[in-house]
Formats: sequence, C-alpha cells, structure tokens
Amino acid sequence: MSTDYGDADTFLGVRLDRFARLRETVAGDYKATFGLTTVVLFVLAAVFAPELAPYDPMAQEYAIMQAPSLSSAHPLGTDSFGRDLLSRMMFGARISLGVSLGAVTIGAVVGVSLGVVAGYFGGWVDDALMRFVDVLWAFPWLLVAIMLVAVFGQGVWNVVAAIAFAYIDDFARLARGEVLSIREEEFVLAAKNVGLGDAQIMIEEVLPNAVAPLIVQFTVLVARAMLAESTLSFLGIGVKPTTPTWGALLGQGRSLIGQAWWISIIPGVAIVITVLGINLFGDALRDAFDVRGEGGSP
Amino acid sequence: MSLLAIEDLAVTFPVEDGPDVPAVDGVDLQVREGEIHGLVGESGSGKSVTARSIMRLLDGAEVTADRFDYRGEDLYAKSEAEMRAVRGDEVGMVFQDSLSALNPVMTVGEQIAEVVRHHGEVDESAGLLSELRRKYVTGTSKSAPSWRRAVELLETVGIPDPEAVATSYPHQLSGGQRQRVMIASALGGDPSLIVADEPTTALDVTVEAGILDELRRLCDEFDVAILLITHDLGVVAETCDRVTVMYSGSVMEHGRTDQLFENPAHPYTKGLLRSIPEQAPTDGELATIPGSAPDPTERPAGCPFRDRCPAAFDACTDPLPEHVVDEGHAARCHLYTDGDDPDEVTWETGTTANGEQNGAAGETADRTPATEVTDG
Repeated sequence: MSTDYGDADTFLGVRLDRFARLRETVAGDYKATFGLTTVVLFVLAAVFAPELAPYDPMAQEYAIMQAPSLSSAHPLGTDSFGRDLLSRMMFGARISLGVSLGAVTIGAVVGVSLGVVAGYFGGWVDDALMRFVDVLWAFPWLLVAIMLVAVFGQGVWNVVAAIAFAYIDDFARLARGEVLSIREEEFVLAAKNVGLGDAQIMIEEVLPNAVAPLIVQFTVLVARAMLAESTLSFLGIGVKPTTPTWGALLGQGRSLIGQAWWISIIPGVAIVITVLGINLFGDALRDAFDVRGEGGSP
Repeated sequence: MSLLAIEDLAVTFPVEDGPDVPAVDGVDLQVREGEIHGLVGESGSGKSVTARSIMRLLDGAEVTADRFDYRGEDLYAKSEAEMRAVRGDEVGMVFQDSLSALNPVMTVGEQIAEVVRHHGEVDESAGLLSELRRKYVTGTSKSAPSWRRAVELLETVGIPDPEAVATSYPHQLSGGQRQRVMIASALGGDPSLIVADEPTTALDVTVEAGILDELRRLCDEFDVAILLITHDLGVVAETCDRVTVMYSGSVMEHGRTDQLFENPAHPYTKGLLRSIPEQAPTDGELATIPGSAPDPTERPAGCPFRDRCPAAFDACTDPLPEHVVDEGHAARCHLYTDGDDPDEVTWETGTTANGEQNGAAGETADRTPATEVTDG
C-alpha cells in the first residue's frame, strides 16, 4: 500500500503512478522489454529520420544500383535506382507510424464513442448504432480504399481514412461488449445514486473500466494498420509511388528477389519485428493499466 | 415530523410473455428525521425494491403511490434534474456488496472526493471537463479541499490511517473497510437520509457489530436518518428505533422496536420473533414458520400470509384492515377487527397451519441460519 500521499506524484499535471506501474511491468518481463525497445527505436527512427539518415532517400547513384547489403557505405544496400535503403527505411517509418497511429486513433475515437453509447443506453439506441456499425463492417476495406483513391487520388489522408474506416467496427463491438457487462455493476447504480448524469457516468465511471482491453485492441490494430498500409503501398494504391514506405519498398523489390534479395526481405523483416514489438508493448501496457491484476500496489 | 412518508406504494415489473410481477403492493413507510428505521422481511418481500423506489432508480418498473413525500415534496413529481440533486445530496445509499458497488479502477479517495465535489460545499468545479482531466490525467490533488474532506470522512467512519486507505483501490481493502468506505461515500453529500441495503449481510459477526455501532454513532452525531434494510431481527433489536415488517410485498406491522418486540400483534411478527434462536427452546428443533412466501404473481387475495398463519379464518380473504395497537404501533390483520384477544395466536414448536405443510416446516428448519428470518 502506498503511503506516499504528498503532492509530488504528478509531473506537469500527469500522474506519475501510471508510469511507475509501466516501468515495473517492463523491467520484470523480457518480452515487454523487447516490445518497448522496438517501439522506442521505431519511433526514434521515424521522428529523427532527417537527422539520422545517412543519405537523402531520393538521391540516386547510378554507379551502385542494387549494391549488396553489409557494405560500410550502404549497410542495408541500395535499390534498383541506387537509392540508400537504410535512409529509405527510416523515412518509410515516418509514413508507417503516422498513417497507422492516425488511422487507429480516428477509428478508436469514433468506434469507442459509438460502442459506449450503444452499450450504455441499450434498446433502440443500441440497435440503431450497431446496425450502422454492421453496415460499415460489411464494406470490404480494400474496396473502400480503392474507391477513395479512385475518387480523391492517391495521398496519405485517403490511406488514413480507408484504414480508420475499417477499424471503427472493431472498436465499437469491443467497447459495447465491455460496457454491456460494466453497466450492470452496482457501482454504476451507485454513481446514478450520487446524481451523476449519463455522460459523466459513461466517461468517468464506465470507460476507465474498459480501458485495458481497448489498449490491447489499439496496439494490435496499430500493428495491423502498418500491414494494411504496406498492403496498399504494395498494391500501388497507397501514398504516392515515389514516397518511401515499407510496403512500397517490399513491393518494388519483389521482381528483383533473384538478384537482390535484401530489397524486399529487409523491409519485410522490419515489418514483422515492429508489429511483434508493438503487440508485446500492448500487453505490457495492459498489465500496467489494469489495477486489478497481480502486483498489488497502486 | 417525518422525513419520508410513503403511502400505498405499489411497484410492478412488466414482464414480456408473462404476468406482470407486483413486487410491492400496498406499502406504507414513514421515516422520521434522525432515526434508524429497520425494514425487515424475508428475501423477495420487496424491501430492496421499496428502498430503490426512493431513489427513482427502478428502470422499467411501474411505480404508483398515494403519497411519496420527502420533506413534504413529492419525489415522483420532480424532474430528472431535480431528482439528481436529491440523490446523494439528500439521500445517500449503502449497498450490500461493497466490492461491486465501488469502482474497481479508482482509488477510494477519488470516489469519495467525487461525491464531495458533486454535493459537498467545496469550491471545486465538478463539470465534465474538469472531472475528465482529474480522471484521466492528473488525479485529485492531495491538497484539494475535496480530497481532504474525503480523508476526513474516512477518519469519521473509523478507518485507521485514512490517508493511506484513501490511495488504495477497493480490492486492496477488507470487506469491513470497504463497507466503511461506502458509508463515508454516502456521507460525502451530507445527506439527511441514508438507505442502507443489507450493509452487513456479507460481513462476519464481529465486523458487523462494528459497522452497526458506526451507523448508530453517525445517526446520533450527524443527525442523519438511516433506513436499514435487513432480514436479521437481531440487527434490528440492537440498532433500530422503529421497525417496519414486510411480507410478500406488503407491510404487516410497524412500530417502535420495543413495542414490536414486547407486544407483537401480527401473527407473522410473532412467528418471526419466536424463530430467533435465543428466545426458542434449547432442546429440539429450531422454531420456524412453516411453508414459504407466495410467488408474487400468484399472491392470494386478502392477507398474503394467510396460508401460513395458524390463526387464519374466513375474513382473511378480505382486504387487510389496519389495527392500531398502541400509539405509533399498528398491525394489518383481521384478528383485531372484532376486538379479539391477540394472545389467542399460538405458535407451538412443530405446529403447522395445516397438515400438508409439515414437510416444508422440517425442510425450512434445517437450513435456518442463526438469528435470521427463514429465507424462503
């Protein structure tokens, strides 16, 4: 039981006890450590790509097209246009990170709102909202993506919209399911008894109890969104073809797999490791946020 | 003056594909300021439904009453917004299962502080946005008035080291501590009435005694009235000023605790008192009331107790009259309509109202726990 009840446990207005729990979780678990390390490296590479990348990702050197990897000048080799793969991977991480985080965040906000309202009120509200979600779910997301690209042209925002659209129903269903059981708990009745309004009960009492599975869902879907973005780029309907993304790199290297395996294998391995790392990190977050789990101290 | 006055309350739950369930039918209840009022009855007698009707939190139920006044104002005439002010502010509630009635992901200090901000007199915003910031980002500052009040309330209800307990989550506390936290939370809005729905049923006897003492002390100290719902007459005898006895959705008898215990008028009350082990013969079977309570959908006309009553006679199928035994003490029974001597009701160990219920009596006796009314 914590006996520290001074004012010191917030920093810049943010509760430190949550981070303390996360630190404890990560320190005690090598899978979580791996996940956190991967995520941190990925984010750092993406954020600081302009500073860290050894070459301009667009610069071509005709002399060294398809240079093999593991040379000192180009550790990951070059592609068929003589562009440095390491630099292109780092800039590609920016797109992957931005698109997947953006898309899943939008999907989560819309989906969780729909799901919580549907689950909390039940009845015809539930029916109406969930049928709407069913309609969203019935659209194949790839078709939606192709439609968006056909109508609005290629661009980052269209990719984000297409992926976000695909994930609304996952969040809505999960949130609704959680809320359906939480709203029957006596503390919701107790909150009504205190005189809280419906909006306050939904956001303050019910939602925090549904956070743990939603976080796991969020990280799983960030990983899936990276794959989805790669898929779209691989198919050539993602962001602009010249923009480096992991999926596009993988796709471009496909035809050269006999001569220069590294062009497609390295982005592929990077996608696998990052997706795995994000998933493991999500598990650690879940453990850190679930105060009812083992480990006791708040 | 009575704080809460309910007359002829009826609560019916509509059921699809079946007869409606009249959970409560014809309940009169008066709670005076600053008293502890016991509401006693078997499981399914409508105690909790009656209590929750005070909060207007019975979703989907049809509630009718001739009178439903709190401080002279009709609760069922209020708008939802006015009602929200009554909840917590005027009437606090303590639930039986403290583990599910406290939010598992918030520290107990946060939960009490929230109630204080909503109803107490602290100068802190309880708007949606500021509450959101507290809940997801900053938490309640340990120097905020609402937090200090929460710690103070925890101390009031007899929790040692209240600062440390305030930063604990519900699952880290014992059942007795959690029940005290619930009481502190109910006190957070400084209410005039606390509805305690079987607050000690889940606790063991020593902890129960502590909680009951606490309720008694708070009642005296804060001048708050408590409606104590229980099925344990021992609890009533120790704690309550006045009692209302319910059976199968109706009130059978009400009066001061001493009147009711010394001079019970209704055969059902007599049967209940006889079933308390301390007053029963020490040899042989424990005394019970044979039979079990009727299904609310198949309740007989007239007195619902008549099938189990040793003194039942023809008039019992008529609507129940009210017989005033003494000042503030009344029973709803036909025995007294023509001036009969109430002592003619005799409960003898092993005696049953009629032969066919002998088996039921034996069964009930086997599972009658100490000091509790037979749960049928």
